[in-house]
Amino acid sequence: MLNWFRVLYLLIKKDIKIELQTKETLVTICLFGLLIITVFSLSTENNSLINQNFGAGILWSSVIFAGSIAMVKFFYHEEQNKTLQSLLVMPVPSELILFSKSIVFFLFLSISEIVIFLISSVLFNLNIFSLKLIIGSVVFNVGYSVVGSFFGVISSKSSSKEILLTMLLIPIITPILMFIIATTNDVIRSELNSNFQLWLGVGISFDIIFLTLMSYLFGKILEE
Amino acid sequence: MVRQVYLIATGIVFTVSIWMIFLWAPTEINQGQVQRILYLHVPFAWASMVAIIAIAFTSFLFLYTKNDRWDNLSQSLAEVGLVSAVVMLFSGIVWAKPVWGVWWTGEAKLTTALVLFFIYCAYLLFRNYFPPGNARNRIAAIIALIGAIDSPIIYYAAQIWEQNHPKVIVGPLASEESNLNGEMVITLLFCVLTVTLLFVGLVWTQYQTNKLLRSKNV
Repeated sequence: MLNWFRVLYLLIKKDIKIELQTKETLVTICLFGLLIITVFSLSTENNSLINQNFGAGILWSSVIFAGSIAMVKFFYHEEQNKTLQSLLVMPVPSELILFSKSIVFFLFLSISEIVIFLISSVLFNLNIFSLKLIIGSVVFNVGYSVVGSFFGVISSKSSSKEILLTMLLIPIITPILMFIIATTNDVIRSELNSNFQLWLGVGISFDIIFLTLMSYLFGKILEE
Repeated sequence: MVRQVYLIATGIVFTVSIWMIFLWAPTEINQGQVQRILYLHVPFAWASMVAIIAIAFTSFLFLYTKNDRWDNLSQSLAEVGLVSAVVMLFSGIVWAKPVWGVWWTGEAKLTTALVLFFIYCAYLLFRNYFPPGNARNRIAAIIALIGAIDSPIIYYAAQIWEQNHPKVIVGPLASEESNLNGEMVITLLFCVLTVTLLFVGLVWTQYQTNKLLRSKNV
């Protein structure tokens, strides 16, 4: 068991080391996310109107689309260099590969969100930094990273990676997407009377169900 | 031959349904003529919901038995399920505008139906984009299972979402409950039967087409 934690640590370290050299994933999420936000900010002169009604939608659509593009890049090298096949030869459960990918992507996504939120709060004059949003983001990022890593491996084998990953990922993550948008709306509108606990229940249940399901099914998608 | 007879019988039943919808069933007092859309909308909604459960079941059987017939049936169900979902969404939108005053609202059933449509699209897109073979069929079955497991969670989330949004019912008589009388209920049930027969017929035909395409490696 201790050995598996060591393997997981090494797998995470490998991906972080590659990212530190290329900086592809972080830069893609941050730049693409900010580009989407900038386009929205150009669409109106009255930013306060935007942040009340569409702020949450704009923020999270930028994170999701930027995240899915970065996810494709993240798995592209594994497929191109056939390194995923090499990892599968290791005498360890294949779920460890899913866990390591999910943890690394969770880290990248969280760092990118801090940057995107900081710049959005300036562009849209938003006050979004609250404990509620931090908890919500962590729950969302866990679900998004696990489901994204699972479908990232699947779509990396296809010629139309970008469209396939987005089409597979977004419908499945709808429950946590609703959860995080509702939470962000509460924060932006400073609403106290909300269903946050109910939503948090949905988010955590989604994470647990899909973490279990994806761990079980991950070995099956890699079967030859 | 059996399939041809079945499809002709379905065509006759469908013609009777059209007669019942437009000539036999009385006009609903509150909604007027537009209510007749529901005689097609509800059965197609039923067909698209049943299809996703059936796909999950046949996908599970495929993963368990590795028999290609179950995979072919899953694909055929998804193709016909997608068409049912499109008819359901389109008829629902056309009905909602005069009755609710808007084309679309954040109502739980609507959101779930739309996401269900995207799940069908994702499943079929995957089948088209991924290189053919055993791996594609196995992963497609896994995607179908994930979609089916996700559907109730989406519905539950959409219900909470609905609580956050006020209902947008602004039609002139929309707030009043509509009452279906005996003839209307009979028409609706007959239409459900018709669409179920049509659905089975289409899946059957699609199954044979896919079988032929697979045998020719298309």
